Amino acid sequence: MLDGLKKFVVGAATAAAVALPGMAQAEDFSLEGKTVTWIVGFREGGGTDRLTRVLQTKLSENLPGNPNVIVLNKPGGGSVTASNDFHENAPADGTMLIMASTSGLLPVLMGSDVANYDPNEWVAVTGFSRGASLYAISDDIGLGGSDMKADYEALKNANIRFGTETPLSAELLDFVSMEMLGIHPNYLFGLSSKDAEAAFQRGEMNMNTDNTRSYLKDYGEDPKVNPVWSYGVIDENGDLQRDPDLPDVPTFPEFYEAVTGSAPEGPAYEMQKSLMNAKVMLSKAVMLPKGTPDNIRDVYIEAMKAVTSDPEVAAALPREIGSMPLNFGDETQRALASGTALDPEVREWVATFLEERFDTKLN
Amino acid sequence: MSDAALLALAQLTTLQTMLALVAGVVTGLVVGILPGLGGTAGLALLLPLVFGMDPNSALAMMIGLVAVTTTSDTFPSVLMGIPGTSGSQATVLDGFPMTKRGEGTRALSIAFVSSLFGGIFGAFVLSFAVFFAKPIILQIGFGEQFMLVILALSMVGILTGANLWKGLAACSLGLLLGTLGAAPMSGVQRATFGSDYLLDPLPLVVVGLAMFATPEIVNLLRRQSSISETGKLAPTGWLKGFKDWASNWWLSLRCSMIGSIIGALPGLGGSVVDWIAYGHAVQTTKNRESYGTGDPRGVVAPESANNAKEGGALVPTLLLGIPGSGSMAILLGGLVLIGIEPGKDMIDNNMDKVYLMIWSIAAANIVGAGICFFLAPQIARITTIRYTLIAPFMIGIIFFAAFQATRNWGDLIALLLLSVLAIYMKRFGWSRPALLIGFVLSERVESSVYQTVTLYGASFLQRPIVMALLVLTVLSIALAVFFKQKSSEPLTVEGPHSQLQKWPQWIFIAGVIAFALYVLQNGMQFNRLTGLFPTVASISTMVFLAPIIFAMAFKKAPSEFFYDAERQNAPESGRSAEFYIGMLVVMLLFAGLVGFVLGIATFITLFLRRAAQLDWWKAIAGGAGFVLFLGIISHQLTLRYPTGLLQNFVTLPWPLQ
Repeated sequence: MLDGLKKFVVGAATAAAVALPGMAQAEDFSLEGKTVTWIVGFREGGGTDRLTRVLQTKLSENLPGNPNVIVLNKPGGGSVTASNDFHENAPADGTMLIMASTSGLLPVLMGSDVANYDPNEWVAVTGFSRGASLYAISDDIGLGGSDMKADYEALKNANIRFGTETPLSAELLDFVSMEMLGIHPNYLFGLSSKDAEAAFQRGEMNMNTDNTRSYLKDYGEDPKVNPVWSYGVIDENGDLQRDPDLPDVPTFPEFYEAVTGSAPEGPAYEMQKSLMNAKVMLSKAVMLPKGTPDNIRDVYIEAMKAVTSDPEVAAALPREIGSMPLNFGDETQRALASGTALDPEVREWVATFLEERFDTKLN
Repeated sequence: MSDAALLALAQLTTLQTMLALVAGVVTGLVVGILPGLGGTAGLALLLPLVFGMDPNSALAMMIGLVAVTTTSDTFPSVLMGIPGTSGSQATVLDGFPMTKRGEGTRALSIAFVSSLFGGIFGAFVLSFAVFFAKPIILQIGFGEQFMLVILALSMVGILTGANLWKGLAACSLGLLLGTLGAAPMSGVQRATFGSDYLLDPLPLVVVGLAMFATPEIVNLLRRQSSISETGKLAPTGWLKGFKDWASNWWLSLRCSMIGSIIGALPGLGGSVVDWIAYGHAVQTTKNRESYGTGDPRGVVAPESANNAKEGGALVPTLLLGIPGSGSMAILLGGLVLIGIEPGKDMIDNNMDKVYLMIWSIAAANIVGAGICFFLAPQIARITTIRYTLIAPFMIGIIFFAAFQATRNWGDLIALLLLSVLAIYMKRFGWSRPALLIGFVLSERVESSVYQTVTLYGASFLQRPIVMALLVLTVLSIALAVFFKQKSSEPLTVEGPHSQLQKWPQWIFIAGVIAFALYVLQNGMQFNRLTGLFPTVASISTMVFLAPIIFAMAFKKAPSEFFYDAERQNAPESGRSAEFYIGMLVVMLLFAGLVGFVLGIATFITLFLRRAAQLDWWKAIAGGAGFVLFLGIISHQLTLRYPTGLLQNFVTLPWPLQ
């Protein structure tokens, strides 16, 4: 927790330094009398909506001219509908922003033909990272938790049951990670994350993935359920660190190296890293439309820094995203670049993988 | 335990918390009355307020809202024939015919007493269930959920209408409609007709409104001057309604149990509770001819169940942190926002909050039913007003309601197309409840069959709860078969069952076949995970159609296979159904030009002037009033109406966007 806080401070300071040059122009930009519309591509009450509403309460007072800030829910296609519309129609004058999330980035990463938008053209303000881990019912699979090599053998031989929505949902991160290690669970599709969670509670599924915050809340005290690995967090130098909320749990690359003797590499690992960026580093991201001028971007970055350090918001944030550091501006844009683009050879690898393992085509 | 209960009662009875509860109840009643808006939309309305509020007040407000939407949703269901929320679709079947007889107040009275009873029963169940229900809920695995779905599907047997095959074909058609859009197991878009709208499956709200609301509106416009055929309201309805409920208290209790159990168990979701309760009522009575024509029991059953289900749905939400319904998902979001996290921790450490919710449900049901009783005599008078004055507003409201589904132009177009289907289903005697049940269960049938078979093969049949559910299902089907309802109309050459002039029915069947073939050829392009279910559903539709086609081709005498309502009591002066369909098409086309708000307003004004023959200024005031209503709602709910070509060129001020 303390570790996370420190990183947060460092991250914020770095971003502040980046943002400084724009400050002079920012002076004459005002939203007085305007309405700022904050698009959420999901129904009310979900994770993305809640985070937006927590931030919304303090955004107006931190923007020049104190505009009226409203949240507009536009559900459909896992936020694809709203993103398409935002990309096409949003005015680049600081009166419209979107709360992007992993499920809006994945279709772009996978090159889906329903996603007619490129988040790389959008202007990043803030990224909210949220840790994720893979966990299992230890006895059912035969995990001891002390010896990674022994656990690895158990994972390879166990009858693992893993519930997930579709072959192309955010759990692809887990599929790819396990594929790299030659672990082959029985995947059961058609389960939303809450259905999968319920099936795991019933013991019908014995492996599951969730954000660290939910994992700790539901199973932190439960000796029967333990994490296999976490997906870590990328620090400001671009290096992968352990999840600050799971300091004793190895990251996926650590686990990989411990059990195979060499560090992960190759197209599969490139894919894994892209998915990790999309799922963990950009769990949620505040974005302005393409073509938004730098001065407006800088105003928003400053505002979001002030919002996220407001005591009331800061107290609510851990409930929503855990205690991972936030990223701002260029750092967010970099994570976005990794989380939404694949090299041709990586794309080829994942296409073959999906075809062979799930009889599923990339379109 | 009792300490926590008393502490919670003390918390609820402070002025601040009580006021919050009443505010929640009033909001809940309003969104319940407005078709298309329900607990989900109402909670969305409260979410911006609850962050930073005193947790007790926020809790009472949110629970107060959720608890009563299924009380007030009875108004449109009973008085207008328009389901107020998806929880009161079944109420329409008998509640609305009662209103047409002039017994609107009696039907409302039955519904409110049943709702009150069901709601309090739900709270009562919840207060025990938080202690022992967890192991039971954890027993309901994929196999059990699969059997629950099959049991629910078997209710179709009792709702097929006069002809079994047409009922089964209608149910199959519902399953087919449920396969459109993203496939549940692969996310692949199938049978989208090339539209972005079908990235997600068709919304239930749109299908429900199309099936029940539009055909009724068109029918009333064609036949009657006011909803109440007598043009009057029976004055003694209130007491009579209460007596109706009292003489059916045992049915009400059983349906409340059904409601709270189904609300609590995973697998079915809240939207079929009313149908299962209705089916149960029909199955357990001997003289069932009166169902569908205004039988009080047909109101008692769904109304008891749909209020009881909220208490039930809170059980998994609070115990496991897994929402039991759509509105519970938002409620969970609201709880997290105010810093309360349901789950084990809450049961162990925050029992007073749990009791606060239980007390709130009970109090909200009492306050809600009280307000409804108080308002009902005024509201029920609407059924004595000339229908041409009401109809344009009703049309405006159902399109507004459909638009709440995904807030997309597609909602309006889907409503129109499905309405055309429903108008002809009504005319040709195809069971619309059967279609709706098929539709609601479609996705669950698809995924639970796959999940159960993948995980267990056939061995799931050895599980005890599965076996018990199997027995219930067999019983339910047997009841449907042995006590087959006979058509109330005589089979004559002059009547609707005539063998003559069948070409309109042929066209309808051809349309259904064309749709099934489209889904079939589309489904066969995909792998098994995506394509198997649509393939099976379209083949089964055609199998059920075969006997109908056979009878159509070869039967030379009046038969229950044939039905065309136009052959009987065709209105002398009224316009044809096709005229009204055309009117709706023109209205939407015009809205495409000038946007939804201006389009609807123009339609209302012209309709009031031309059809209802009002003075111009009154007609314009009607249109303007509706614009104001839409404007207030859009402001409160933060939503944007569909725009037309005009909006590409000019920016209109509120409320005209």
